[in-house]
Amino acid sequence: MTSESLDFARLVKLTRQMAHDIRSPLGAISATADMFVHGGYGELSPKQDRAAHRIKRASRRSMVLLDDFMTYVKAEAHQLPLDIRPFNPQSLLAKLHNTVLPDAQAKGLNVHLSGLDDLPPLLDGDEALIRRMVLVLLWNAISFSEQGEISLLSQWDAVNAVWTIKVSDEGTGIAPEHVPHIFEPLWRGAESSQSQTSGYGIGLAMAQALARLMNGELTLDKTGPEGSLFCLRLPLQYHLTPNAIPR
Amino acid sequence: MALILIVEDDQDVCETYLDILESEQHTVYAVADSVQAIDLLVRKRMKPDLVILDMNLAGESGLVVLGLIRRIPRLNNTKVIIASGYPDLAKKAIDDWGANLFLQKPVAMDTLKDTARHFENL
Repeated sequence: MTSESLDFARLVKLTRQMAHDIRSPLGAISATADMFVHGGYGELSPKQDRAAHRIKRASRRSMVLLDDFMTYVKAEAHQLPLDIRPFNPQSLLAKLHNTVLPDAQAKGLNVHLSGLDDLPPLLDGDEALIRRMVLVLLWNAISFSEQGEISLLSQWDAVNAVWTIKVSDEGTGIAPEHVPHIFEPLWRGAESSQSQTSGYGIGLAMAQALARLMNGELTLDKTGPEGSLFCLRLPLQYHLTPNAIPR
Repeated sequence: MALILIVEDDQDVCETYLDILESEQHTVYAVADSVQAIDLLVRKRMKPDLVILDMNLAGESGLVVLGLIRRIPRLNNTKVIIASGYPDLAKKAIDDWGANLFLQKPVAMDTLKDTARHFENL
């Protein structure tokens, strides 16, 4: 092991320890805020109730940011074991669609889901991590769109067993000078805003690191005044059971 | 209502568990290390329904407390939940150490309430 990789390993270990130590007080803040919100310390005035909800939201956001950051670090360090199990890809995308639709509609946006019919009934993969990657793309699309439609398109390449998930929006696009940086961790463009789950510039870096960990890739295929298109390509195996013959 | 012992050396986390569980009308005792826990369980012959145990305690590990509980016949019915920020410990905690449940920290309010209710009804 070189001294450089030794330093990296030590840094990863320290980062994991630090994250553990931050989670404890953050968890106490979050659970205490929950207690206030649910009347555990008596009835609150409307102003106190708003403040308690604010603490709850801020602590949750911090926790998500910390989790995303640690997932990124562990994926880059190849210390994130994949939990490969059979999952239903159609059901996963349908659930993701349902998850983001209310927030999109609240902004006057529609989310169009397509391409499900070609998918096999079961694939082998880490469903939870795939879910996190696609959610990053969807929340980003919603965050950076003020009008139009978000598209969530699935394409299954049966010959090569590659699942491509495309997320496009009709937002204002990414400025050309920002494009080379968008997958850098914690990079923030001047116009970036805070998305609900993976803002602060860690979401795309985490998603790309996860895609690489699965021997796939996440790319920005198009961006401009008509919007942006992100493509996630994942090589996944069919889950073969007597009842699931690949098409 | 259950008699619950919390063994947790982070004061803020400990007080949070205490408030949540007391709001559910459980009787809750909280200590910060293994020595105090052993004192309650052995010398004061406490017989809790449920122990919520942190592993990474100052001084001796929470594993000492768990091992002791599993060796005392009087505590055969005591359920032990390990609450830890290290998810890698989950399988070992249940398969090798004999814990009844592993909860990953941070433990949310509803999770703690539901878990205590679950074990109370067993």
